[in-house]
Amino acid sequence: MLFNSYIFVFIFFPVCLIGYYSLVHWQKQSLAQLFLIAMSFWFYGYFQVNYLLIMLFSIALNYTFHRLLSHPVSRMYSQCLLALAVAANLGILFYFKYYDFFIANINAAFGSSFVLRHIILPLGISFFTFQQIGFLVDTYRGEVRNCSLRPYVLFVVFFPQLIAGPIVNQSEMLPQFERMTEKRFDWEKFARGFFLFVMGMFKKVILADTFGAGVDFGYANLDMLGRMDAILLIVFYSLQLYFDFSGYCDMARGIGSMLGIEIPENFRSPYRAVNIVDFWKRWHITLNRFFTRYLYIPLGGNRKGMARMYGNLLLIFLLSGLWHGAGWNYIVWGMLHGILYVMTRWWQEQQRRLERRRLDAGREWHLPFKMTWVSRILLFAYIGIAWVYFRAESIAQANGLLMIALHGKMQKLSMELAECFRLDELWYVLKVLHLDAMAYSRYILMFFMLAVGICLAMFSKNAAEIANRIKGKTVTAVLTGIVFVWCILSFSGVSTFLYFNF
Amino acid sequence: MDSFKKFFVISMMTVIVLLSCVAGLVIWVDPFFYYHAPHEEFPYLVDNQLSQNPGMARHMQYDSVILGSSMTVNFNTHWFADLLGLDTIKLNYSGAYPKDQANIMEHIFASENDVEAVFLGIDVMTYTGGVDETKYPIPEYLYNDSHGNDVQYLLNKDVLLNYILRPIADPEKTDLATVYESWWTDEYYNKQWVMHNYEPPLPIEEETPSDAYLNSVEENLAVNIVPYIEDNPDTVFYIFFPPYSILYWNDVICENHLEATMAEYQDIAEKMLAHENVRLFFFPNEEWIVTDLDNYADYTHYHRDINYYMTQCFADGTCEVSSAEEMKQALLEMRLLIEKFDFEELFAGEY
Repeated sequence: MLFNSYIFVFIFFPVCLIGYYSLVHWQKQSLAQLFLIAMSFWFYGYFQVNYLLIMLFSIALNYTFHRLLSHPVSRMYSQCLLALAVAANLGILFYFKYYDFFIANINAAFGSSFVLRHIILPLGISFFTFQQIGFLVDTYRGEVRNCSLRPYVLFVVFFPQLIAGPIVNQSEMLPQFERMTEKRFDWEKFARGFFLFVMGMFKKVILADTFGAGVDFGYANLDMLGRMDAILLIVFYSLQLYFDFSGYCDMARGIGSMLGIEIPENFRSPYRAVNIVDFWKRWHITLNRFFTRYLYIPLGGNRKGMARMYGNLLLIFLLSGLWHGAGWNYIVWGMLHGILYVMTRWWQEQQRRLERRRLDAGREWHLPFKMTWVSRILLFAYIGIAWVYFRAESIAQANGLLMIALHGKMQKLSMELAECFRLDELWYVLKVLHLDAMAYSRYILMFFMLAVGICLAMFSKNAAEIANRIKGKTVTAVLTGIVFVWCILSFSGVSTFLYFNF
Repeated sequence: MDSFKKFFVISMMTVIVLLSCVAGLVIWVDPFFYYHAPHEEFPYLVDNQLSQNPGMARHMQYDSVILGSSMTVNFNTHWFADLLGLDTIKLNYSGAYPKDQANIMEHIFASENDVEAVFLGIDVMTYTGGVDETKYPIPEYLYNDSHGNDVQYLLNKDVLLNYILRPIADPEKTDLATVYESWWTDEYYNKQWVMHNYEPPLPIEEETPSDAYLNSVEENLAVNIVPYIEDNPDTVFYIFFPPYSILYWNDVICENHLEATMAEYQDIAEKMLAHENVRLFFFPNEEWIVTDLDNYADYTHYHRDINYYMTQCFADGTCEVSSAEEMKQALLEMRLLIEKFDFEELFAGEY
């Protein structure tokens, strides 16, 4: 089930809120947990019931490992058990996500002809697998022991974060699940959650999906793009991905907040970052946190010399690329980030040394404001280029688009690309203003959406910050309602097809 | 009241009021005719076959229907009134598969209309697929009687903006006599344009066996067409094979399935002629039509004048085939027409 669907908005979530708060009101902690578990199963199973079985198997397996790790016989025993548990989880992930990629590469390298299985990837498997690996490592470290089955299952399946994160940690969720009935209903938290949910839906339904239409068109018609079209396409995808993913996470956090459960922040205005290190503190924060906590630090972090640290960082970005998708293009994307990250860390290290010398000499120096913006724009451009590999179906396609952006024809902007941004509701505004008759009227909405996207991503406060600042005014309430209605009306469209072919 | 409680309540009230207004407006105007017949005074825009045909079939008044693919979109229902005395409605689906015809016939015969005649164009190439295949995914919420999924219609931005507000702002009521008419204006119908855009398929060496299509065709007829003919003995089914241009037959020859196509035509004809309430018309062998590419905008789509001629034929019986033998004769004429046509000369020209 999607958050941006009629069934979620009109049936699932109202039922969830009423049922949950009724049980909380009657102090039925266990039943409230069970209710949320059942609702989460409905939410997940709505996509495909078979997925539910895979998830249940994964939960049963990991809970068994958790119980075994909760009673360590010896350090060696715990280490072996943890290694086995992690291997089992990665094995499952490998089978569903990487099997075909692996076999295709074997076939390409050795000329073999092993059959590809075309396995359909269960939704959210990367998220719930990593979340459970984190839980097992925490168990091994003694941070959590003998967790009851009910809160454990809820930790894994809690529907707001089940499909696309954030990747939550047991230390931030389990205590909340254990104290559901202790907290009083908080209208402020609820209203701010609702506002955040609506903002997230706006980002997803109105912004991301509109940019997405342009991006889909562009990638499907690379041959007809000119240089400026290609550059715009790269920017559009950067914005689409941000609004899509962060919009989803805002909705998840908003839902959590309405249920009185805090879900960690996953995006903090990432395109306002001034360098790649800063970017990864703002983009998919919980994945970065996972890699830091469960991979980077165990590998030695920065404690074993600079060379080892840079190696660790590159490894993490390689794995991050692979986590995002089974394809060489994802690896290239990960390595593009990794290389710049390592270079930036090296540069920062040099700067730190210089700084120390300056301070010793009594001189202070900060990056001037204008330079901050230059670095922000350069970083945005670099990340946009890296996203090309993330979005493209292959490295060749990505290279093709980048070549057009560099050496393509300087031609009139594609009208078809601009048409993808023709939201009817905005087009009528142009008509009312008599702007529709202008020679380049078809491009107005494209550039309007681009300007809105860039302003929201790079200049404005993010949705969570705005949600934390609203004061409950009537005007804000009415506007929130109108935006919500706009989103709901956009869930469904009327299919049109070209009718002139057989 | 707590200011945040007030905030949420006001937001929700805004949502409920706005959504109720939108849903109410959709129900009242009902631009897809899902709930009721159209209001006389509203300037309905009708341009979406998939979404509007089922409602039109259920709630409009008529005594005959035109069904078929884009081969039938250029019929004008006034011709049917003038030549046949019928009050006809067009419910075509361009590119339609047999299942699309079955879907709409389900609605036609479930309506309160007393259907005297059905004019159904058969495109043989669409009868070789699966019996449940539709050309495009259909909007289920408009095709079933359940109101559980009506929300997709009631709270739909496209419906609100393009089919309610746009006609109000720019009232130009669609003329149902010519609805769904092809966008090709007269200047597109000429040999130069057709040949300029025509690309012959790559030749296929292996010939398709003559019985290759028969199973699919018979299944499609049995599941998607014949039940409606049998269940409605008082309705006359005018079933016709449209006159594709000679270039269509060039495709058939290049793709090496002439015998299979001929067998398919014969088989469909025989299956249809087995029913007393069927009148069958065969137009592909009309030499003056199919060999003159000035009648076409591409290799199959003909000018509305040809549709008019076909309507005249329905009225006076020209081109009607009454028996399997007559069908064999018509197909023989078709073969001769193809054999004697000078394709080399046609392709030698500069276009």
